[in-house]
Amino acid sequence: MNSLELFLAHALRLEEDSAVQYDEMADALSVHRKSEVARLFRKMAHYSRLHLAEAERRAAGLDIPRLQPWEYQWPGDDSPENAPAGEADYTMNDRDALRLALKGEMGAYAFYSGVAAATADAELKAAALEFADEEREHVALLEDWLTRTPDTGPVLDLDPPAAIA
Amino acid sequence: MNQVLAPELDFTDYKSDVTPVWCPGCGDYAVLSAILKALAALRLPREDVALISGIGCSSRIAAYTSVYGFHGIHGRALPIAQGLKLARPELTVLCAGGDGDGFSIGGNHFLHACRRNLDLTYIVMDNAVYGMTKGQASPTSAADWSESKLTPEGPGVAPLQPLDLALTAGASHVARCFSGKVQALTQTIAEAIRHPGFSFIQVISPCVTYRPEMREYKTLVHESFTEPCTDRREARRRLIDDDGFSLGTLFKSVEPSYKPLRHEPESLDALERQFSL
Repeated sequence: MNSLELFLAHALRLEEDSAVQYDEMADALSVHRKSEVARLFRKMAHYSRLHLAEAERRAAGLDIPRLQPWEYQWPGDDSPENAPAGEADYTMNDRDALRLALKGEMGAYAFYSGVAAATADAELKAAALEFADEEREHVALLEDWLTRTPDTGPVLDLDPPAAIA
Repeated sequence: MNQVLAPELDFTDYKSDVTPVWCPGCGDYAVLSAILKALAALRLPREDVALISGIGCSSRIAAYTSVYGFHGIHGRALPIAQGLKLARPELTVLCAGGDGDGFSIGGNHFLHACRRNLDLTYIVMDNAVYGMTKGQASPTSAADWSESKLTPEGPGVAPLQPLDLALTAGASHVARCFSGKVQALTQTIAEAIRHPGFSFIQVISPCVTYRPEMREYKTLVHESFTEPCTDRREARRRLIDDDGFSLGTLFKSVEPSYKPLRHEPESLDALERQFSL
């Protein structure tokens, strides 16, 4: 990645994807009446939208490239702040949700700090470090939250699928 | 595919305000995201796109988009989609559903849709289980899958091979994707929509509720169909070594898609004359 504009194109996509996915998880867990966990994901979606707004503010007036969805240069298969495929679960408790959110925030931190480490462009490096710092704050927040959240075990299902009974 | 370009829209503009009721962790969320992103990437006007589905967890997908949708009856998504395409050929028609809807209840329609080769895109979210009815074996479940209360010793019959079937029946574009690889899935869907003919995409889309072992599928899938072949015989040869986890576009035909002959309808007088005694 060699320009601030390209970096911001990635940051905009990353934060929007993350907000959409956190909202989806909140919706899914609300459907399964896990309102506490849903609230947690809704809060994470809010944080991602704040980041998105910050990226939009930085992008204002710049010529941001319009990339096709498959042209983003992510380190993995998807937006790095998105939870890894299939790791959510209808029996997840607060701790499971926090762990999942932590993985996402760590993915975003690794992406932003990786861009900062790989570039010689001072402006791009500064912006990437700034975004990485904010993700690091989220990582610390979630780690602290995890230490204060007891493990209550999987949520009880009185009629579980045969595969997990 | 429709050639009119919409103003630049974000992929979320193609999403409806209906909240999905899929389980947390379901692969279908990623398929929905990929479809929305492909539509936005192709800049298709929402009013020129229709998404037709059948019955099952994945068939709810039509309601979660802001394009025209029709949540049809079990196994009949393809006849509805084909009828729509014949009546309104200028529309971009997508059809979606699950492995039970597409290969069992709608299995016959699948064969003939491949053979008929209309210009539409069929996306099957294959989780090898009937999730909506709480976990029965589907046509793509392994013969020894024994985690269903209905078939505790496994269904005992060999699973269908959707790519083989599609290829043999005459599908024009045949691909397999994994819901955990959203970028590749989005690109394949966009290519399938652009392809002028019947495009079939089998998406391995894990059901983490009734098939929790599918969480490990991300370690089993592999990119094997790196370049699509245009020779059907060569595509069949490639499938001989397929372990069910090969990803990519297997086959892309250069043959033209089916287009019905179009002419002005005869006048009522002319029709009546044919039947006059």
